[in-house]
Amino acid sequence: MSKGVLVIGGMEAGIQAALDLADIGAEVHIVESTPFFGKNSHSKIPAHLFKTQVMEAAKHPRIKIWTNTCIDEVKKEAGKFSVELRQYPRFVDLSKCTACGDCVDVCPVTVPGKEHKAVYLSDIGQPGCAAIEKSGQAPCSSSCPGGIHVQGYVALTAQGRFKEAIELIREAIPFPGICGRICTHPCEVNCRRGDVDTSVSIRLLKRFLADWELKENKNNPSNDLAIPEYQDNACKVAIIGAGPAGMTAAEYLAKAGHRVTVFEKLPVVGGMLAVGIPAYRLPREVIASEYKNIMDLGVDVQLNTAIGPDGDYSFDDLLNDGYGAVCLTVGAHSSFSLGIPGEDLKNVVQGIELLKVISLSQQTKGPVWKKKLKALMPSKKNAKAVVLGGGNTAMDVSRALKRLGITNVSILYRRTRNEMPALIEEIEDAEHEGVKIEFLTAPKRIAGNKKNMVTGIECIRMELGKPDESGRRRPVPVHGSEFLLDIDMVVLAIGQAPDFDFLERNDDIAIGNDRRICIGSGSFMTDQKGIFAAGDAVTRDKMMAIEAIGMSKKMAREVDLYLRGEKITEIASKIPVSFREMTAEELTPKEKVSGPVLPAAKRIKNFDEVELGYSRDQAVKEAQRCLICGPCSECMACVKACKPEALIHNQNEILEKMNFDTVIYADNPVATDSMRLVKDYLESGEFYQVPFDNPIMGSAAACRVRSNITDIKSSASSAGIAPDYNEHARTGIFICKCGEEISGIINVDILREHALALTDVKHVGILPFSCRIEGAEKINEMISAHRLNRVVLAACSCCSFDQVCYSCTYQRMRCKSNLGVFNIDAARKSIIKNNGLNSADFEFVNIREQCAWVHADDPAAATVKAGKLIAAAVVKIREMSKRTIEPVVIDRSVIILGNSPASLGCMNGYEKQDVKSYHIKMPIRGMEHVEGCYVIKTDDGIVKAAAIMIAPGDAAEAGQLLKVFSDNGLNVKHTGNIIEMSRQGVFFCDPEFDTQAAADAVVARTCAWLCRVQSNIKPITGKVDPDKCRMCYTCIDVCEAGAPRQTGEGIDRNVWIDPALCYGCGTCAAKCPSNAICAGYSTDIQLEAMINELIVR
Amino acid sequence: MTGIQSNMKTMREIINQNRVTLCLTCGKCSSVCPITRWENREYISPRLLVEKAASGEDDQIFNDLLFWSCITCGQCTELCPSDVDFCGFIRDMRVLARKENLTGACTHGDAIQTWARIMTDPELKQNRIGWVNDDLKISDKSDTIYFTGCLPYYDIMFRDLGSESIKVAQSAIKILNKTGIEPYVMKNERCCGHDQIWEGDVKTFKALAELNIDQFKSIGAKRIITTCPECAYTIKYDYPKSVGEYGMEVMHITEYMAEQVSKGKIDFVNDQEKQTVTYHDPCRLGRSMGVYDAPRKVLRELGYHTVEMKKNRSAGLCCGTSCWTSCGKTNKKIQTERLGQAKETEAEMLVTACIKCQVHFKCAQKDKMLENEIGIQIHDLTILAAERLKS
Repeated sequence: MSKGVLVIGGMEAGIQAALDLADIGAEVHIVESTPFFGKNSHSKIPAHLFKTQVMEAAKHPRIKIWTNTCIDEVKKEAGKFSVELRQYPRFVDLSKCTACGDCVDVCPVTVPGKEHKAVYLSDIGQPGCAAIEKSGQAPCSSSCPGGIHVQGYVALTAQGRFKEAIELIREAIPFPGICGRICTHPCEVNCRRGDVDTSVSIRLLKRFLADWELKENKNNPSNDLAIPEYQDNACKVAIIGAGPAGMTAAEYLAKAGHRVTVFEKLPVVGGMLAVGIPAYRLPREVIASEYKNIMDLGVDVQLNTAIGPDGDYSFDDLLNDGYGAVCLTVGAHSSFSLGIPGEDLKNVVQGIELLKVISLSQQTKGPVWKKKLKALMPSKKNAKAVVLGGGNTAMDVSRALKRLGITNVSILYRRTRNEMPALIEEIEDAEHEGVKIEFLTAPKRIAGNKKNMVTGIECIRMELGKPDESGRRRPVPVHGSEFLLDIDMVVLAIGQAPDFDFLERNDDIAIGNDRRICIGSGSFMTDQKGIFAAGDAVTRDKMMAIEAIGMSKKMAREVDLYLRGEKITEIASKIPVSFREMTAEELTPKEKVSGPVLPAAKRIKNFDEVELGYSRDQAVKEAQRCLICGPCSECMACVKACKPEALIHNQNEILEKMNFDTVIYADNPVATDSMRLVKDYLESGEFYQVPFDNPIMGSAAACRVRSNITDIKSSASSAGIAPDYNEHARTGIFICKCGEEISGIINVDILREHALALTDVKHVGILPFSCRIEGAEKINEMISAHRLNRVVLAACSCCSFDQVCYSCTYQRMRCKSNLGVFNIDAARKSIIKNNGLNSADFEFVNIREQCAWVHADDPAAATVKAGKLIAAAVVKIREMSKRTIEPVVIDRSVIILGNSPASLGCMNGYEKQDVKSYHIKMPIRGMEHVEGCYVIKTDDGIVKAAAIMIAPGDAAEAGQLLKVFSDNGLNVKHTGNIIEMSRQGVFFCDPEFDTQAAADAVVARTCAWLCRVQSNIKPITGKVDPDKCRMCYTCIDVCEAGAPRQTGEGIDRNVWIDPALCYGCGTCAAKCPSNAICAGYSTDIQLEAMINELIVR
Repeated sequence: MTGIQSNMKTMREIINQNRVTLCLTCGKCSSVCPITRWENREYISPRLLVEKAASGEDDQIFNDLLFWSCITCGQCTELCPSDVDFCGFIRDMRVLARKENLTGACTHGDAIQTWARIMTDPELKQNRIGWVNDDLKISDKSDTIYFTGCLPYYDIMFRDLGSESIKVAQSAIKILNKTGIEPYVMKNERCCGHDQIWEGDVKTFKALAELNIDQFKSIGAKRIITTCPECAYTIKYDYPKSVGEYGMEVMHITEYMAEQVSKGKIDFVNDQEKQTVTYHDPCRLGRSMGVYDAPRKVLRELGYHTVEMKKNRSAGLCCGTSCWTSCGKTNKKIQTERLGQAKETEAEMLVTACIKCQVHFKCAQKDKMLENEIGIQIHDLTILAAERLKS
């Protein structure tokens, strides 16, 4: 990796040190632990200037900025420091975000204890892009097998944004109403509120949303349920089994454009949902309604149709009939037996079978299933039933039996309540309805009479021994504790497994020893090509609907890829689970909102739904109990709102190991814990520590560090390649839509028509976001396609300069960087290299702030104005004068003035950095700035150097030295910067500071400037008409760079603008009373052409 | 001369009307022309330009450097034995030039010309009496109008030069009040149009003049007093010629003060130690209106000892620039020459009666390196007078 300097801490000192070092050629990495480089509120640098500095660093070719990054490990290896950086995800793409704030507007989460949303922008911090505060996925979301963004819909519900909430659920699963009733909710199990009081009732919230949607759709029926139009070459997919797994796959594949047929053996849809879960928990209308949505997508469901050798169709039939893929989602409809005597007696029933018969007798017309039910049930009045098992099936069976009129129902379970696999609320509901549960009781034998009817069950008491492989304590029989119960019916509910009869003669589909279909890991394909499987038939540990749904969705994705013949794409990385620290205040209990239920006495009379569901207010109140674990809820509202697609919710942290020659520590040791790792190095003096808010000490550290760096590249300047202005203008115009920030107000199509009609315009392009790299690539492509030599970009950049100021934004900077505006030479060379063509010059027009935003209330006016500004820019760039970019080669030398004790330290410092220095003694007989150099006459002779360092011993001497400048017509003032004076190349060593630190800081800044000024020649400098110049000093007084100076003798003197110092800003031209100065940025000819275009035409 | 208001004159008409063809090529004009003296890019002179016109080299006239840099100071006309009106020729020809979109190089970013153009809008509502302090009395029923001119604008524009402009206006009201006059000050006054007519922008000039005359007539006063010689000259001579008669007397404040002194209606405190001052004749007040004695009389009355510069009265040198156009090194040299003449008199103060003269001189004095040659205090006569009014 790169050799260079690591700066820890992106505040005043760190940024300054980074800039000083990068300017002299060092590779610098600057690491900031927060998402934003920000200044300290109390520091002396104004916020806007600091912002400019960070921007300078961000655009610097030798500085890499790392936000959200901390130091993981530091090792010393062969004289270098091996540092491991850990960059936490920002979840926002810095190359795309436009800081429009749309995401912030829609974010439902306010971070606890802070004033900002989970996605937020900083007022002054840079990079000026959004960041998401997310320490990981919330435990609820992370544990959902269906991949639902659980915290997301809870957060949206808490805000009453039900439509978005239900849509978020629907993006993951097609069954919110079903899961809202029967889901075994791992989310609630993992909910952190459970540690405080009780988990948020997430399942009930989902149910509320599903009910709300149903009601809403009834009130506002919409016809937007578009049935996908199949392509002629659409693939046919067969799905075996219409349970939740099958139908999830059917939905996914139908939406993906395939023709889906679902074959169901039973006379009803729903699989286990319809025949395994009693209606009082899941009303059949709910299933019907959610299935209808899927069938409306064009999915064909064939009931009473078995597949297999004994069924209606064989696998070969399906494959021969053109089905490209078959999905086995057959569920697990067979049961385990207990292996005790008496199991073959009448009235010993499998729980799964009983529930199926009950359900079908209720759902089918005709007597078949009703008769079957009658056969299973004891005919005796006041019959007693025993249910064996401790899972949800046991609860369902016992409660169903109660409803079928059996008053005395007991459950026998081998272990205690704590080990029961059934959900606690199911157990409670069963007990509430009068079901007795005998714990630590196991059956030994079922007793029967001569008619083979059950008469009793012999049981034995158990006690808990050592834990078994499932982690639960193994029950051990208590000798001699046998007892007999008088009963009339036994229901076995001790586990279920898939029924593989239909596969019996198909050797190509392997079945594991654990009675599951074997599938390829990740591919979901069985051993037979084109046949996939998912759901309970595959699940190895937990059989539950949400698991089957989640698994089936993944399978469907693979089936789709298989049918398209595409390779498996990269699987979205999963981000870690968030366990953010919470304050005591956050962790105060909040009473759970209990949902209304039917009273027990009413319940046992029929199979009506027990739970009645939350009201609107109850749902909102319950959702507000969420502890906001993320804190980002991943509701994806930001993703939907973000037009430039800048959000990356599954971004992961990056680990990067790098070697550095040296390290500067400029972090706040109190606010960050980076101190811990670097402490030893700081104490041993191997790392440099500087106060984080002191830029002077930052510079001083940069100076001291310089000697430790090897391989500094010399930053020699090269001759620039100027565009060939002799060639006739071929102008390209690009209009940025900025999402809708511009195109929402300005009619870009009209604007395009208008622009196409302008003289010399060969191409007009519309870009969605010009500040994204794709925008720059498109522009470069068009430059070569249309042989453009001038480009006008109508976006948000407000100047065409190759520098940044405090008006600049991160996006403007990024746009110019992408287009190569900051590094003209390199960009032009690359364009020429790539296209073998002439390069283009850029002119920027700010149609966002100057048109779209100020005229937001009058779109027509905004469009007209944008058209005019573009027209003006086209004529301006047409009148671009021919200019060459010649490098100014500056001697690396400094003159030191003054008697400060620091001057000696400075001379040493300059010597180490290969800079010649001259210490000049007073009196000074004359001072001039000629061809980029200061020339000073003293009694000893003439000294010439590129820079001057003023190093006074005290304030009085400082005044004398400054007077030397003004006496010689060179204007120089102090700036907010302390070290750098208003005139370029003049530096000040403040006698108030620590001598050595001040000396080092000045040396660092001088050297940085010496490198910078050589490689940064501005092609656009002001020019003075000597005949018009009245030598009134106005320009000299206003210029911040000290570029204008007087030349000539006596009355014939006039101002000359030093091209080595001029920024090209044009302030002097604006102020000159006799209009003697022509600004480089906009010449008089250009201004006249623009005004003509804007007003006269 | 009749015709600016009628159809535009042809070049020949202009040459004839200004008696250009009568030039005897005696060279007197060239010897006094300050531009000729200081322009070192090429040799230019009124005589050469006139010759081009007289000999039919019409296309050369607009290209002549002097055509745009002439400051219409009138020294040439003053001396011409054939009575060639060179300044009139320049002025009328500039109207033709402007028709071809040719203009002089504006200064101050064209700001001052822009104010005038803005004021041609008949709908423009101004409130131009904000500078009238409580202790100054003005009246809506007065037979005297005080015409303020550009003073309030210059007060802002040239604040950094230490221009005394608004104080000039306030002093004028003070003096008028002292002599029993509460003048009418026009809230909606327009620029007089002097710079426009001399730069060939007749359209703007006429619009301004018409708007002002309409107001003069509606006020129904008998007399207009100005503190700016250019306003006085333009209103007195150019308005009747181009727009029509309005029947009012027009005088510069120096004329008014001299008249009041003669009548014994105004008294000044003049018992202090005598200061030596020198008076600079503004071109429009001196050569154009012939007012030389009045200001000198007032200065004596104020108790100053007056010394004359080498060039004075009708031979007085111009302040160097006119009409906020074509200013540069040459003009600075004229100003340096004039200030040098003032310095030679060893007077303590240079007094003028024109705000533009003051601005131009003070601008030249920004050159700190010429402090020894041109450093002299500059004040306006009206202010000096108001400060010495006997209470």
